[in-house]
Amino acid sequence: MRVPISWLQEFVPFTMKTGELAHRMTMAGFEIEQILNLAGEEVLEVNITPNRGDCLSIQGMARELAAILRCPTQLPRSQKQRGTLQKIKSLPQFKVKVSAKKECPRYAVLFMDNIAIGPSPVWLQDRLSQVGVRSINNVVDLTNYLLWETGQPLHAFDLDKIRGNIINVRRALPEEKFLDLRGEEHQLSQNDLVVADAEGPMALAGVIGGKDSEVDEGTKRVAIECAFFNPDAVRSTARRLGIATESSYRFSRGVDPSQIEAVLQRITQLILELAGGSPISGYVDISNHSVKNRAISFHPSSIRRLVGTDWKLSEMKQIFQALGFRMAGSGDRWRVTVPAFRRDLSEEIDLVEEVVRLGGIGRIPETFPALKSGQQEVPIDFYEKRKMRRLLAGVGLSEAIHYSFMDPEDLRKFDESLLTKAVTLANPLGLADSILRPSLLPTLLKTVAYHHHHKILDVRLYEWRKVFQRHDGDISVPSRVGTIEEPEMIALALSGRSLFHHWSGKGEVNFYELKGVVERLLSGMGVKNPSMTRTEQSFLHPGKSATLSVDGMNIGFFGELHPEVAAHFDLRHNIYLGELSWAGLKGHMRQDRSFRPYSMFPWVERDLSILVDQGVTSGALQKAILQAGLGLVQEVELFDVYQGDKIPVGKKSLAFAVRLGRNDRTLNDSQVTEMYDKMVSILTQQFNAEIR
Amino acid sequence: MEVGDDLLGRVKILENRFHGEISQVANDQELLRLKACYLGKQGHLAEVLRGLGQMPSEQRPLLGQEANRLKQVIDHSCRDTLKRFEDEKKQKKLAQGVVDLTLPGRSAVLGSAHPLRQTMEEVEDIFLHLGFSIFEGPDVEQDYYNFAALNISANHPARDMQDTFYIDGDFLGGHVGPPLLRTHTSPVQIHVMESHKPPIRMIAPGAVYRRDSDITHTPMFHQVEGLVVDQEVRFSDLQGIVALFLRKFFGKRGVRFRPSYFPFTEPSAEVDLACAACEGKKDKSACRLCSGTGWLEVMGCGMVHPNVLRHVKYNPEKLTGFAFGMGIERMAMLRLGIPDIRLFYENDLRFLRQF
Repeated sequence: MRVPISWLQEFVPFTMKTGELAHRMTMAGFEIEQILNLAGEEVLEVNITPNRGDCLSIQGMARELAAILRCPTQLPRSQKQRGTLQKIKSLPQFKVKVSAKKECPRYAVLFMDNIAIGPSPVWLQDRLSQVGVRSINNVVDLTNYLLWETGQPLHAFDLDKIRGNIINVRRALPEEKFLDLRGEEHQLSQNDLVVADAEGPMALAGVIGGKDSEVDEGTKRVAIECAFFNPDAVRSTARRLGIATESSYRFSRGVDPSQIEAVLQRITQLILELAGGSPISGYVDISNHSVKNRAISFHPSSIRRLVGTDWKLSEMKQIFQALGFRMAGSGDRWRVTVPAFRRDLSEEIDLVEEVVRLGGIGRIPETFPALKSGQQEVPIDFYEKRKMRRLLAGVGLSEAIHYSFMDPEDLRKFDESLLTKAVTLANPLGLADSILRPSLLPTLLKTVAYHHHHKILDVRLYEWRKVFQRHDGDISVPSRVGTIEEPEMIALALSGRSLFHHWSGKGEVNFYELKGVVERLLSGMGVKNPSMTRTEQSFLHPGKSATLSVDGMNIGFFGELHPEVAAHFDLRHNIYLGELSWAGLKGHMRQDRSFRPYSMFPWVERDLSILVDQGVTSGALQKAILQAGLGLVQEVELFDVYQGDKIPVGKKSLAFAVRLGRNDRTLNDSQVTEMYDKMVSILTQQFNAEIR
Repeated sequence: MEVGDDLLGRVKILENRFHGEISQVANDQELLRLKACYLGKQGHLAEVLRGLGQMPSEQRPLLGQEANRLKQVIDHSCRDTLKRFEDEKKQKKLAQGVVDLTLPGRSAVLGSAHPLRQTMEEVEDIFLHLGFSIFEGPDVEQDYYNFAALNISANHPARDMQDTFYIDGDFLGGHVGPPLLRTHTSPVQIHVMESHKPPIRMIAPGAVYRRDSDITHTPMFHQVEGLVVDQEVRFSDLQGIVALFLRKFFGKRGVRFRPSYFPFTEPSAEVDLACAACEGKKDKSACRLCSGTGWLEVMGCGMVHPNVLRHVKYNPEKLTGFAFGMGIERMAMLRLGIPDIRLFYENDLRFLRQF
């Protein structure tokens, strides 16, 4: 809220520099965000917290500032001169009625005749421009001026536009429509509170006035509304219709109904000064509201217990007096009566806060709470996650973090079947952010595409986040409600040149590099014996992808992006993708890490170069070699695969280095040769292999 | 002239000749040949010694001594020269393998965790060292945990501060209202207090969501929430913990507590950190980082509101507590000098690889 210094000074006599003033207010809970210079004057931009509706005015701010500075306030003169304006029961031939008593505890309206509508004087226009309000005409400007000065929203109706000589504060009727003064039409609901004439709503109570009853150049007679609407009623209508006005902002934080009479006195005086006219009879005031001051019990000793430092009793009394509180009681039992407009105060802790706020928060020392429990809990997989992240960095992947939202269209392009799992937002920012991600891959893929568009082709990324998956309930069974699960997934994406690419040797990322990444991650986390089978994921290349499982449970998949999906995402280079389920990995991590002995004796290495049919897999050959070795094979390493014109069509050549040895002694030549021959004969028999 | 003098003279001449010849030798083969020429069985020295028998017996030892001396001189000289040749050869070999120090090295490229993750882990570690536990909660929450239990009633003005994303469809059952994306990590406080007895000393890191998207706001961001509940926990303890954390995270900087408002704490405070860009400068008004105030808002905190304790059936007469919360994006931006919050979610490798 903007507060011009000179306006504030009309109510509080202070002379300190603005910088000092800003500091004092900031440290008492009214943060000065900026000091502006507007219309030749300094204006404070004050951040007023939602609990302090009573400070949404110059007078409210002045009252608070006086308490902060411990100095008196000067109220405007008209509020001291009561009695010039008469309260009347009703008007002849005009009815003011409040049908919705609960939503409108107090409704006052003032009628004035012979008004001369015209532009406002410069001082008034300047004040309004300083607080950020557009000048319209003298009467409307004065209602706005008093809203800023007193915090009480006012609304002026053109009395001659009110149909049927009646003002009724009521709930909206079903299907009722309302055209606001900005020209927007709203469909009302029965929960909305309106100020209506005989034919329909003239204003959304406390929110905004209507086009049809607006004060304009031709206006001669006005009805000025000064009411107290229920904060919740105003708030819910303003929220539902998405209208935020200075009026609704103040009503929803609670205005002070006890000043209604004073405000009417002041606006009468100001209209007489600036727009001529004369009051018709007096004002009507329908009140179902009684102001009650709250009494709160307070124990001065609570300050030490809750805050950790002391204020003298006399200091606390001085603070409470400055805030206009009344005190009774003695010793450690006080009864503190607070003004009704302080809606934020209801229990002892609220008073403790006032002492801290005005007594100086800087007085509180830094201490430490006693550590009484030796128990320290972390999530069960906390350290495993950190280890996994080190491995992910170790295989050259950088972590990406995307929003949890995504575009359903991207999901459709990626894998339509996932749409049924997606959680939809009721109020998204836009269609492109309207579902929660059931898979991390489409957004990760878009980031790969982003890099390709920026001519960065070497991309190695991972993302490790929750995905959101819907499990619909069964409407016919009340106990079976739908659920939303939040499993964590690890998505991988590679493109461009190999991790091992260098000026001294070149290469592109391929299936086997991604497989290497996956294998490294699994072995690093102690996941034993993962099996890889051909996958049926529609978005992966059918011949270059795998489903990963451990003990018969699927824990993920990986492979080359299907060329058709790549085209959907405008990707022209090969992309390799994978997704691992963290729960799946976690469930198969080997916890019992223990030492395994190894041989003290050098091994003997023999190369096996094998020619087989193309359909024979490397894995099957390797398994056969290990079995034939009867425990003497310590390592088998594939070091070459060849298919080409140097060997017959339909064949391939694989070369393995086989390392033989025993833990208790060195093998001699004849043992090695015997073993080698045995492997050769098994391979020949099982695979029709030819040893080259 | 006597035979003996003649032989001694020949030794001298041989020595001079040797020195002359060895200086001409170019490689180790020539050297070996030269050595054989002087010291071999048919060599020059042997030839001289063959005349030993004709010498007068008293002169023989002298000749023997001289011959031995010459033999040692030749030996040493040859050995030194041979070593010189070997050294030269090694030097030559080493000179051939000189690398270009400016060519790129070859190594596995390391990836890295996202700067937000790194910041989060750093915050977690500081609190782990202070004996705090870590708890996590779901992103999709019930109204009760996100608002009501935290003293934010259905029409509370504070709901405006946190515009909420709601989930479409019937989940969790109708009586708890539609599920929502949590607007802060504070619901974790409630879950933990419901399931644990005090003393509680915890943090809750995680993603949060607000319906807000502009230059300084992203609809998803990250928070770390802290909670301590026990007997005799005071506002001064809150100040001690928060200030210690900030000094560990940002280094020695000014920290101030400024009264503020949150529905779930009272008294509440914002925590400001002295602006590093203009700390100590006389004129702060031009500073863009802190808008001339000299302070940067980094955290919110306060004493747990008694209504929150009542919701989890803790007795506020016996137990007190404090809570604090911070935005990880903001911490990371201040710490790493990142100018725009949206950079975190663009995931450009040129950004990610800097950290």
